[in-house]
Amino acid sequence: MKNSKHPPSEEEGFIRRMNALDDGESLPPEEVRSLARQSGIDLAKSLAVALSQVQEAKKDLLKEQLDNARRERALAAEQLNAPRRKRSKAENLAVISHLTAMRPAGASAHAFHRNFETATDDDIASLAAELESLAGEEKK
Amino acid sequence: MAKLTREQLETLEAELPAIWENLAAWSESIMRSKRWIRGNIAPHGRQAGDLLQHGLTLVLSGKRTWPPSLSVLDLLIGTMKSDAWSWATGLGNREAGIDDTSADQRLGADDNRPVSTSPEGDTLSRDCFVKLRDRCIEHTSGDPDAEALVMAVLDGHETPAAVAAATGLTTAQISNAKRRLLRKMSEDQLLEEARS
Repeated sequence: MKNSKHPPSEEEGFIRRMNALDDGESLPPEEVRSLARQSGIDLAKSLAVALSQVQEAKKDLLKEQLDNARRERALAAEQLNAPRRKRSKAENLAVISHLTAMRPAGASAHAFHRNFETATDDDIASLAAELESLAGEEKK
Repeated sequence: MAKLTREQLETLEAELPAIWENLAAWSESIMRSKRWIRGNIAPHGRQAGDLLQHGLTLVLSGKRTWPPSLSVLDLLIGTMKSDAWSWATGLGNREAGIDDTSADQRLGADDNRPVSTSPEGDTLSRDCFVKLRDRCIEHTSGDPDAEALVMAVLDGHETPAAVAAATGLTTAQISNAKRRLLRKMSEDQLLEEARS
């Protein structure tokens, strides 16, 4: 049950307000030890249980973060390993030139400024694929 | 439902040992403080330790939002108070927004039954609330401060400051009158439940 589906009746509203008034009370520090004893709670044992619950929650959180990172990495790897279109070196250079021109000034691949045309066909094809992948990411 | 961040979990881990005794005391105090609504507030015979444990579970599961300004102690006390209200009435706490699936059944009650319906965490019916309110009014007899307090709450006031402004009483007088009144109500509830 998530809260009440109906607005509270007048009487329920009154009891809620009495409860709110009661909830505002503080606990005198001198009563803490006595009340804790009367609660029947084994302080050491229950604290150990509580701390192990927190540890468990930390482990769950870490596992969740790792799972998310693994999923993202797998997705990125899948995109990078997608079969590349067979293109000639000239076509790949044209693709790189086109995609680099679309990027904001200063965001161009540094390699492109270092006489990149002389790199191997595989490196050029790889850069073209990465730039295409990045362009695809930016469009999302 | 927002799960706790790593920083929040580390804060909990670091602070719990120092405040655990305080929290145990609060759990007992809160269990007692709701007896005016239902003598045996906890479903299935749960005790103060269960309230504390359940409060921590609600926080860890993200069912209880943790505002950044709230200390661990205040967060868990607030959660236990909301939880105890839910246990006692079977109603979720509108302010806290806690999702309590343990009580989703509305039961009726006739005038011959005690205000509490059963210790199973079921929801108090409207008749029960009417009976509680009437009992509150009855118990103010011979206690002018308690009478003024109840009148102010009937008029819609719910904070000590607002009640003080409406009645002309000091907050200490209000606190004492409220304690006297709720003690009588609790005794009534426990007696009735013992008889039934």
